[in-house]
Amino acid sequence: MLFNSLEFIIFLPIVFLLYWFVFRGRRWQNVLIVIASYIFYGWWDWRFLLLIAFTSFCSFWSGLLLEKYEGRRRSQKLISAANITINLAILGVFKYFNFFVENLDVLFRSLFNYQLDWVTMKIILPVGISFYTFQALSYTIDVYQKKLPATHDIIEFFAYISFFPQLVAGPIERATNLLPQFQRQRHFDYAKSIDGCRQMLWGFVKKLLIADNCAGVVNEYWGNFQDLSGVSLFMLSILFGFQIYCDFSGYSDIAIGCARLFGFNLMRNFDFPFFSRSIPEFWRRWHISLTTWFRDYIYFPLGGSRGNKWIVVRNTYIVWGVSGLWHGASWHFVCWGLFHATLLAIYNLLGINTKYEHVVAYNRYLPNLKETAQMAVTSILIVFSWIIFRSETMAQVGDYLYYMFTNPFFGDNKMIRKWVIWSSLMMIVEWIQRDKQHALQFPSVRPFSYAFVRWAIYVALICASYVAYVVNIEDDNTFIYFQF
Amino acid sequence: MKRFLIKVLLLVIIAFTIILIINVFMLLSKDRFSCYSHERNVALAYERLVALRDTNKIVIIAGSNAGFGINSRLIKQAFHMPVVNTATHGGIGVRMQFEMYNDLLREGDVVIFCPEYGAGEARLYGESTLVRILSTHLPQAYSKFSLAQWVHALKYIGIHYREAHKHRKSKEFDGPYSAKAINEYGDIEWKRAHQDTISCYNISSLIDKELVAYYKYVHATTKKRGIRLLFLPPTLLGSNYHKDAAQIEEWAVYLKQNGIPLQAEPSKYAFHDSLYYDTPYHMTSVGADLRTEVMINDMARLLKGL
Repeated sequence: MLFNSLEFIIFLPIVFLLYWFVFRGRRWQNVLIVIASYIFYGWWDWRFLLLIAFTSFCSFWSGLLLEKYEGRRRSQKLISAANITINLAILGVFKYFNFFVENLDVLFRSLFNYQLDWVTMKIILPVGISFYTFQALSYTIDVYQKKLPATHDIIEFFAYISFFPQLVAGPIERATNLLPQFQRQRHFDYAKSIDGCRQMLWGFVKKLLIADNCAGVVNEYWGNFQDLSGVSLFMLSILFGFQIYCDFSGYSDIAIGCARLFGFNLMRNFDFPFFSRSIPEFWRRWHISLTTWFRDYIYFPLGGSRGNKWIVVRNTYIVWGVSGLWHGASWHFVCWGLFHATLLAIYNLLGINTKYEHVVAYNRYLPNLKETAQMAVTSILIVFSWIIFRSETMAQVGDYLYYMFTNPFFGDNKMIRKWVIWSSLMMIVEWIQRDKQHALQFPSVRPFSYAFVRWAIYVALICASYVAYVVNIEDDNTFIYFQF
Repeated sequence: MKRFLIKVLLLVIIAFTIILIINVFMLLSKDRFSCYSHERNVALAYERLVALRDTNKIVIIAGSNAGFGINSRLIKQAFHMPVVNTATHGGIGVRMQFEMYNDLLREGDVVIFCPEYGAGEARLYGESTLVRILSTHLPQAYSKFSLAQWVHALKYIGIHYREAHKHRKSKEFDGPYSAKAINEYGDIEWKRAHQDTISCYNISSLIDKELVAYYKYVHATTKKRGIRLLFLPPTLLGSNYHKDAAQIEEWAVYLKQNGIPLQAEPSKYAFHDSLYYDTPYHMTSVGADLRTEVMINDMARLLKGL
């Protein structure tokens, strides 16, 4: 079930009312969450449910075994290794099997003139498999590392893995944050729920008004870009940046807002990344739940930033290679990851990996010259990385760059320009609100202190999103990150 | 909780009311391209039928297979009755093709009903074309919508609005698809020669219970009012017909089993490919004359004593 669908608009209020009025009590509410989440997920294909149930069961059971063998470190190591292997094997089969076979086939053909293509299978990629698999892995690792006691309640564990607001595209929650929330009694909180609704609304605005409209332009011109000018090609990659940001952060806002309606606090996934002063800062603000997952479960175990600079560089490349592969079974995603690894390594080696305490232009309206230059450099580097991300092959990346630098530089494309301007307006709103959790957290100053002004804004945004939804209804408007 | 629910409900009511107004605004926006296209025939046919309200006439109800495939002048000469060809676009859907003009039919009229092959909701309730055509040319026909038709049409309102916005600078044009091509009967009368680019439709299955139920309704309602209904097959590109003959035959049998037999052999209305203009349903000028001759023979057989 998509957030931007009529089914979800009906589904959410029903589940909300049942949750607070019928299924009272923590345990019953957890049962309802599992049922609702399985309906939500099974709406795509009921067969996916078998997979998520199996993943949940394996991780739950491994948690119990880890507790049973408390004090026997070797057995515990085996149990967690077995569970990690099972989860990664499932992910590997469904997401990477054909990728590896295809590449193996190319290798065999070139080395031994032998065809392996018969091994390729028709595999449907279950929606959001990477997200819930990582969440399941987080539980096993955290229990193994004694950050969290194993849960004995299978319902609360199944609810933790399948919690519908963040099931298919994150934020990838840690067991240490989300699981205890299923173990506590939840109480309805008016302020939290109202803010959740605002955050959901802002998420819908970003998705329906910006991302889906940008998608129409990007899909039309990407792969058909031979005749575009250098400027238009550059703007097109900026537009894709806006599209993917509004699509993914829009989803995260809806997920976080929706979870708040049920009394849950999910972790922040985006923190206005386009206002970053460096690539490391960008990655502290973009898809935070995944970046920190890789940091905690891969980068730190590899040694992290301890050791000499070359070890740090090696670890960065490993993490970003894996991160690229996580995004998709394709070489261009791996290259995208390695491109970022290179940038991060350069920042590291040059010692400009500053951890900023505050948002850019803190307590000021505009950034100073240095901050502007830093943001411009970061944005340009990010724009180039979107070219690698959005292209379907590395050959297409080459073509894109070739045309960008060899076609006449100046030349206007009305559609691209129009949506870059519209998206920039949205970014201005985000700039003003950059020290808030989301853009609809109004300051308590006039005119926002008047209820009718706030309501007028809500109604205008709902109506604008509705119009954007109906005029784009024929297009494929699923969230980009579902494919990951 | 109560405060929260009241606030949310209030916001939903306000937003819903405004969205309703937006929908009406979008629904009633006119498509300038459609204004200058052959789709104007929907309104012209309506005007002709109003003018002939008290006269017995032959009314052709179909999609564009009849607009681009019938010479009504020949029918008029053969039967000495006024002819109104309402056939404009298959995307209007069978239901509205009939309902738009149903009230203007009278006892003694002859209705030639030859909808295109196809199945599913779109065949019965139409596509975004329906909203475009009605909003631009005949908005009063929305009063004929059933609830099911509204539910189906809702998803096309936004698409119509987007297209209308895109076409806001459209200018008058010439050619078979222009309003200039419509003759006094409602046929497309613009010289059309065969084009080599026609590709066959893929007709997978034609069995559709809801559609057949509607055909039954048309059959019953016309019979009750003393209107002669001739349910004839549409014309179809020869090679397309041969490719899908089994499905079409199965469909004909299914109709017969449901008490609404086709009154002519579908194969008789499948002509050589060279007689088709640009789609498997649109005929060249020569093809339209030939198809009309076949139709006149069938009509003469079926309307003996008229």
